[in-house]
Amino acid sequence: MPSDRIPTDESERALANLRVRALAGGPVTGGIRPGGAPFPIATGENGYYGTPLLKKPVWTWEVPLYFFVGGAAGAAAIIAAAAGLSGRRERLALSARKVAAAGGAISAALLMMDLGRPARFIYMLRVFKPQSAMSVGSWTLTTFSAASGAALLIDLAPARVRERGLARLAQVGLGAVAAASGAIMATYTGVLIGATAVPAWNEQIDLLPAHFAASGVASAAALLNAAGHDDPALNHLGLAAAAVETLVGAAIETRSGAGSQSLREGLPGAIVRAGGMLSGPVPLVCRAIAQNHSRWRRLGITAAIVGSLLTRFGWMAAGRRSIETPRDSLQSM
Amino acid sequence: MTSLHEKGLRDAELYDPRESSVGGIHAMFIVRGDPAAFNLPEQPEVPTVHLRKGWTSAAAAALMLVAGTVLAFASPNR
Repeated sequence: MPSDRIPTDESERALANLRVRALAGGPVTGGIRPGGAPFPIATGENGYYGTPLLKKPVWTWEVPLYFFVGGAAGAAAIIAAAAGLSGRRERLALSARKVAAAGGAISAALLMMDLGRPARFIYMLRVFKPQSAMSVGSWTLTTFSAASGAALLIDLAPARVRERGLARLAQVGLGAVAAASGAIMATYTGVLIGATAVPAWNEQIDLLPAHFAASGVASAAALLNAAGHDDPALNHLGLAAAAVETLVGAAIETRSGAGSQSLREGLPGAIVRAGGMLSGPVPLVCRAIAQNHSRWRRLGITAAIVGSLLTRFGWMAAGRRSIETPRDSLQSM
Repeated sequence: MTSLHEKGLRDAELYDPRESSVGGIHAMFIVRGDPAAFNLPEQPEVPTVHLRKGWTSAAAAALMLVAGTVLAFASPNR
């Protein structure tokens, strides 16, 4: 038995003696004070018995990647619906439907990989539990991938089927369902990580949904740009998203809570900051001056996609860091 | 608790945070002195209390996302 074990054999024997004395004659004064008495106090440096106060999420790399793919797909479904409504943007709407449907399918695959077996995704659907963001998300993803996939299926049908009024009506309806669930897809992940005990996430719960929504629409617009669409509406969307991301980046830098420090320190802080720069100021400037400069546009598009991806991995890493840092959980307790 | 106080342990306290979002911890901690000295938080909270705030900001963000996208595509394509 290791000699540095607390309590030691000696203190255990002394405690047994104290019990005998207390049983015979009531409360005992004096007594023993083993190391850490009366109670090991949790400290910012060591946590509790050298263990962090919080448990880490068991999420693997698939989850932050899913946040990115699901956010982009959700925003793409909204773009598809809006482009379809505005008229004379059929090519763009079709591309957006493709991005949404592919993203929905990849999202489901990523979550199944994270769960280990496809059947476990079905288990997630056994109940709908509004007080669990993960349950809401499972149902949202199921609705979204089904609606966006079915909407694209109509595009792939032979022209004589596709051109019928009923098929067109079904496509508009499915597109509306995909857009509505897409809006949840792009935002609920912020609630998912925000409504936890993890200080770095919890303290930013007011910011996270808007942050992830902007990140999602930025990557969706950039992906459609990359697919060869140069509709000015996409540029406007990218500009607006980059402006929001710039504000979010400034907020992260200036927030004072204990958990916010994990978003600025160490490797997670570097990833969050790099993601913030590539999502905010860089595409903002590039898109603003890109009108006739394709090189700037390409740079802005690439930065927005890479930035959005880095952002999700950065938040995940910052959450883990803040769990490992007992200081954070103690200060927010 | 009364019998403990009668035995002379006047600083004995029962820790069970019923008046918080945790609503009771299904366990009894009897401590001597301030529970805070034993790492027992005075106002513990369950993370789900943040759901309301989270979903409110998510609804606002989703609304802005849809409105912004519709606005961006409001002008007809050239």
